Amino acid sequence: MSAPLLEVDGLSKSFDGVRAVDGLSFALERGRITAFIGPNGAGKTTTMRIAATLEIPDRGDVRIEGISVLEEPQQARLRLGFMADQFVPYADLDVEQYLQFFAHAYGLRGLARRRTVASVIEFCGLGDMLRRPTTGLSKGMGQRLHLAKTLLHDPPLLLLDEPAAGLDPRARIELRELLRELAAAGKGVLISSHILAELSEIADALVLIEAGRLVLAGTTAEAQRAVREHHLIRMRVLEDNRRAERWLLTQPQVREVKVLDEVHLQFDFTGDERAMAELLRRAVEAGLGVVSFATEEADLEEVFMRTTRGVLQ
Amino acid sequence: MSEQGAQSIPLAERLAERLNPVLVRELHQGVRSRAFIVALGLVLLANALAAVLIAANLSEMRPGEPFLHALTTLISALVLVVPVRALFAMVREVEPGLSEQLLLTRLRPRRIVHGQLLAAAFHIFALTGLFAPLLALTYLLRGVDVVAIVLGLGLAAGLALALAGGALALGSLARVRALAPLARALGLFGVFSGAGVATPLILEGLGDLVQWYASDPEEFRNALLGMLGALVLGLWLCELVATAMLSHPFENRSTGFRVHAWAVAAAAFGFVLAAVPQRFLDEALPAAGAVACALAAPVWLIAATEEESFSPRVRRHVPPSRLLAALAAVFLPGGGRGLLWVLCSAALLLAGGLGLPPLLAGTPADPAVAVVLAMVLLYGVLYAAVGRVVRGRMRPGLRASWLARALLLGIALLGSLLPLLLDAIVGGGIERWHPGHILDPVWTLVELRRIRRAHDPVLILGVLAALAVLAAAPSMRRGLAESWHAAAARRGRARPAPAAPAAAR
Repeated sequence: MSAPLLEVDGLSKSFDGVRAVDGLSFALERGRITAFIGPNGAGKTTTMRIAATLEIPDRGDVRIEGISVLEEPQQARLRLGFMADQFVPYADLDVEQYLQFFAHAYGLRGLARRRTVASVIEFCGLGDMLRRPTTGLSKGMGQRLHLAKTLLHDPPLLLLDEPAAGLDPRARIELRELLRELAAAGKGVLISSHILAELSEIADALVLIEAGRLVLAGTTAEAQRAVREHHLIRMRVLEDNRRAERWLLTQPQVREVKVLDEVHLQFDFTGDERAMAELLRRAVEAGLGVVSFATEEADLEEVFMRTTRGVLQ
Repeated sequence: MSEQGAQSIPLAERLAERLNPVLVRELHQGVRSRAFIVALGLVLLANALAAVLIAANLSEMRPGEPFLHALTTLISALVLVVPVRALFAMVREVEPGLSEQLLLTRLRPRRIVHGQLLAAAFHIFALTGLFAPLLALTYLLRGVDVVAIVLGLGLAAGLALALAGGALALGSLARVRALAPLARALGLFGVFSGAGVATPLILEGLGDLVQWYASDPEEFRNALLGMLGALVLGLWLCELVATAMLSHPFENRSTGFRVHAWAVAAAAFGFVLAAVPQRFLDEALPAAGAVACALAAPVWLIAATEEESFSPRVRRHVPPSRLLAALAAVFLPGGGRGLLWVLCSAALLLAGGLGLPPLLAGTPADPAVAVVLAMVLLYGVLYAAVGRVVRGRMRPGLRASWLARALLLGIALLGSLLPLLLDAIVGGGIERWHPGHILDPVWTLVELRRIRRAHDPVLILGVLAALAVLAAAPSMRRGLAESWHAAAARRGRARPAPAAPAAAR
């Protein structure tokens, strides 16, 4: 069995006596976008910097494809791409020179270097910007260039620290698309962001930390199940929502029925999916005129709010 | 990019791939920067002005004087433009966002520093090239020979490179954000003061050097070798400082400095053996040992005040072989091992200073110089051991190591000033040296010849140093044990897993 793409194992780190990360452990799989969330000061950036070999933990280790970042940082660096929260460009270099320089620094030579640079330029949509000075790029274009640089050595793991911060809606959507393509290509992505609605749309899994400790880790479905012990169901009927409300209140495992408007109702259902299907069948047979019947998934914001306490380090 | 375009890589690009990436980037940046255009304009203007002035005053000039004027213009450009550019390039290189991006690539800190040094060398070459027509013109005016030209250009290039190396080392201090303004200020001060002192020396001394070359080529060659050696060792030290600043605190930043200190000692002894007549070796060799010790003193104190344990990264690189681990231990990071290295260094310098004269000159070392060597070594050992004891009582971390060094400096100052204060208050005045001043290296060494009649400072200092080393002995033992265990752990990891018993298969 191959080693996990990223394995964080009992990580602890303190700064001036303040514990930034406290016994954190989690793993990340290939081909998945994992949202790394937590309140400000939760230890997200510290964890990412340790994983990127830029900090050393007081205890614990991080392994990338089984390679310890503590013991073999050089080997680990070949397997990771780290995009820090801030893009710092070089003065007096244009976009192409910038990428050529980093390709050279990553040891790419000859045709391989040219092809790689050309492909990341195309992938990140930088084709029209090649002669632009790197210091003259917009925030969105700067982040694209930053991502392009991060992809040059084709790392299987991407650590992205707040990549969408400061981007306009179009740039965010474009970045999201790029990340989806990268995950589809088999790369594992650990992405931290404060914009949870954004992450909700692309993340397959999440790691939630608070005060340096793990609160929740797993797929988004597992997280949703963890925060809700029941299903929240939204139902639309043709007419007579009051009758539908009265009927629902008589049904087993149904609680807290709310009439949202003339045709929409929402209620908690504590049964499993088979019981849910049975409830739908009975509702149809009762002639309620059911137009739609769907579970409402908990989004990351709800997961975040229900699981964190706002503890700051 | 079309496939066809990708197939043909221009020669220049292929050549650039073989160069240091930082050098290539610096050249790209240099060509595009406004500073380059301004510098180029100024250099061409200086060229033109110098040519006009020489032409206007040619009839009043002595033979060779036009060349000196051209050389003055070139040196001024070299010693100011190249180091200042290097300083600011390094300050920019160590900016947090930029240096981390680079360190995540295959470039190691040393290669980054080499790239910057090569950029400085290229800059010197390019500037000299720009001045070549003017220099050629002045050569054609006669009164100067090829030796003077080669010497003048060589000294100018060497000075510019040395200043650029210093500027890179000082610029790298900006890696600590709080030190960035200080790094810039110190760098500029260093460049301007270095240029201000050395440029007139070269220009005024060039004639004497040419004469020296003509009268005693062998002695001149030795002096030149000495200068070249000093330049190489100086640049190496600058490279080590800049590399250490670029590296993370948990990387091995110690071994290079320890090897360098031994190289300085070897170079000092080697230079003495090559350049000093045999009859003076009894004095020159112990003196060389004392100078090498004094030069290495900061490295001794830093080595002994390092954190005691390996970082996980360094532990991974301890040689797995028992013998190699034992031999390499004193060069590996860690205060206990650092103090052991100090003791080894002191023993080697003592052996070189006192053992070589009878072997090579047939006479024992001069007693007066031998005592100075012994005292310098004992001071080094004493303060290093005290530093080890102080550091051992503090918590882990880089900050604590620097605090220990500051405390050590405080102890040395207190050890020197407190007896003076007591003499002034209790004794009614500071009149003469007594054993209470033994911790004051400056006064003790200055008064050494006189005070030996009454007391034996070597004995007092020897006892103190021995006590300090004894107090630090557990730390040295732990340092050796840690290297031993790290090597054993690596051997354990390297050993293949035992085969499973047949029944279990």
